[in-house]
Amino acid sequence: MNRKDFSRIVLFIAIFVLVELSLNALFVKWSRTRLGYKKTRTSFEMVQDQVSIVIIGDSHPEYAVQPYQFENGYNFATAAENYFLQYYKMKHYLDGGEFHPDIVVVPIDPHLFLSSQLDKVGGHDPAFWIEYVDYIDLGHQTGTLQNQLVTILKARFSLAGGLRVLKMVLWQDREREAVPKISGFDPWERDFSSLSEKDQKQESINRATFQFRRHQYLDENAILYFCKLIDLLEEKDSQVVLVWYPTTGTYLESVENYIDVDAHLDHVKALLSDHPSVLLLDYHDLLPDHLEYYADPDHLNGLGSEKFTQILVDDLMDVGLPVFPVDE
Amino acid sequence: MNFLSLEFLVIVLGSLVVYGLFPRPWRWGVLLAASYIFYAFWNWQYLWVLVVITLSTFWVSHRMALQEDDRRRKFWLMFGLAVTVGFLAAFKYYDYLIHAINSFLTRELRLPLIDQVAPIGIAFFSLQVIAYLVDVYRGRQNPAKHLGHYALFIAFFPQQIAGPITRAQKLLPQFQHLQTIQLETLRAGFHRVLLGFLQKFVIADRLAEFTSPIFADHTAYSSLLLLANLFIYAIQIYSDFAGYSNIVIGIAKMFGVDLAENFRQPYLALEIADFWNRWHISLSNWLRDYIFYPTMRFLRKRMKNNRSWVLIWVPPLVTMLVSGLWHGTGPKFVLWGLLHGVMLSLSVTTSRWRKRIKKRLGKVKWLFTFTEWLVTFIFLVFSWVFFRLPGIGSGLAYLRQIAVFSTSGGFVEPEIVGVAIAVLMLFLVLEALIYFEFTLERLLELPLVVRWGVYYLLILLVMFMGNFTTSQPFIYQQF
Repeated sequence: MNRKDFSRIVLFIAIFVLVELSLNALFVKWSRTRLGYKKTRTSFEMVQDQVSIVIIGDSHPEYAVQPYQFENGYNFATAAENYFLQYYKMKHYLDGGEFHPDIVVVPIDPHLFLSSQLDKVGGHDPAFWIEYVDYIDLGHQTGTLQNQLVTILKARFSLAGGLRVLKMVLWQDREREAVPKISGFDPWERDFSSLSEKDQKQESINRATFQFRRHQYLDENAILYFCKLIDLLEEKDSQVVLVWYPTTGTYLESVENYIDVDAHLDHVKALLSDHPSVLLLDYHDLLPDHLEYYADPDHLNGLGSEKFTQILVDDLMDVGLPVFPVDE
Repeated sequence: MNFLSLEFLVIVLGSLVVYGLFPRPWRWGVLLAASYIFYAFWNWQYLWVLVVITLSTFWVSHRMALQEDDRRRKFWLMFGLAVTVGFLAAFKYYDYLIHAINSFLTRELRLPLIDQVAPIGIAFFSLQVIAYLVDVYRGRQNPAKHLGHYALFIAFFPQQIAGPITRAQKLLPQFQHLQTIQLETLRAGFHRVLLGFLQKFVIADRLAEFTSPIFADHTAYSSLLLLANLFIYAIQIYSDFAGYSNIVIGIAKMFGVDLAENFRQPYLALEIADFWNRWHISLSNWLRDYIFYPTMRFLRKRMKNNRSWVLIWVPPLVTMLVSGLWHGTGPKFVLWGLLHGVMLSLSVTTSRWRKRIKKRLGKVKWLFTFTEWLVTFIFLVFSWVFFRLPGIGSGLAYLRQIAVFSTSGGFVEPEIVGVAIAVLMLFLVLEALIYFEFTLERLLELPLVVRWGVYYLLILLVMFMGNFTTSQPFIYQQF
């Protein structure tokens, strides 16, 4: 192969990278205005300086807390958002200077402490998260630099497999379009109790198996980022409230096959020895048999979130935190 | 490691660069090192299997060639085959057999299991080695002169996982005279890889989104959907394996190495024998040369009547039974093989009769040809059910569910149906282009700007439409 051929190959690749990056940038920008979790971000940024109570975390808090039941609340939780993502997202906004929450509600559900959570970081729309997450730092901190470099590549070439995003835009988010997000909240209207007992049990087993099987509980990286998140929030003078969200009894029974559920709270408390001011609220066994409050084994539905939010607000007020319910 | 991992990309690109920098006499070393590194990424604990098979069969082939006496030659052949087949049997079939035996024994008497996953690609490189040993024994192939070239013949990294099963006659001379990297071979290889990516990641893996949930819980779907699912799976498995074959043939081509071809539009076959000349060609040819013909010769020597039913039925049945067992252990693969064996024999039995009918039909013989094609295609589609589902029981339950004409059941999400329809249309376009020989090579007649534009469009199509999030491992990788 001569020099001319070689130059031609280099030129071919260079043009391709340029075309791809340009199309990718357009694609990311276009999809951002359409996808639910991206809309949540846009709407949050419009009101971030007014938010005093923020709910963060994954789908458990996302569907559990109705932020419009209290003043200046915002539910900023999105599906599969683990401690790694929560940490960098909070850091991004807290360092930005406009966001000064009085209270930050952080989930402590057991699945967030599994080793699988770090693996999920790369698969969770890197093109969106790259604006928050310092993947190089994450790689150094967790010893997964190679994986994080691949995630950066995925973010810059997110057009790969982009059909998934297009499908989400065209179909999955159409329903959301009809229900405007209020303070980041969009209830899940499904009644788990309408399923047969057999299906309820099977769905619970499937869910627990999917989350817990073959994954190490109390993973050191998950704990590291949980602690970093608490440190960060306290450093910024926010009151940290840790919440273990309610789930169905059948789900908890299935989780018991993998971890000792009763010991979970003690494990979390052990991590908080240097954080005496952190408030810990355990609701995991609050509504185990009221299946009409659930959309699936481990997510509250609209009815459940209404009930749960009232309880949460009352409890926060009882301990003297500045939470002000919105009058009907 | 899969074909889209960073490791694989690094190995391919790194090997290409290093290969280009090394002088010709040492290029085999670069490829061998890359091949062993690639194998080690899969499972470094099994590298010794590759090395032991390489060294032992290289030595055996030389011992065999030195013998004048046919008995001694046969002894060395048997020894070499015992080593190769021994490894294959131990890793692939031993546990299955012992499980079956243990089920009749009390706990104290139970035999120990190996309980290890088989070394990746063992079913493929074992067949290459068997072919080499038999060919040396028959005098059709000289023993490999160079141990490095022979080691590369067994371990060559593009074909390591799932073939194509390429004969020594084709590969060894190429390894003796490895070429420099040229733009033409790079381009030809790139064309094949691009086609392979389209077939694997866009067609096969997108269709898998449709078929996998249905196969996982087929009792929950209507008969019509189950039927449609079988046809879609037939296209998925073809695109998956043909895509894999095109990718590996393309990568080998970039190094100037030609591997055996594996597919020639198999679903256009008019009869089952024709199908096996078009599907997994490298395996079919191997089975023909080392199972079918020897069985036929063996029987012919012992049969007085050359038209005996034994000669028509036994060789195809034995060959397809071996094919079934090669694909996997368990009754379902035996059944799948036997079904194909029966169809092959029926096709031979009825060939004269069919020819006569066609002659009589005159102008409307196309109708008969079409019927032949349809019968073959429907048989193939239905036979895949035993290939895909975990056992004969579940396969039969699936077919029963179709037969009861149930109209109620779950549905597939509209977006997955929409994507499947788009992908099926793409499949048809691609097959039509291949049929009319409108390959990417034809692009060379076009101006550079147009050519590059088409390349970019195809790459972006693969990137955008490809399923990289739930991408399946190559189906044939498991064998």
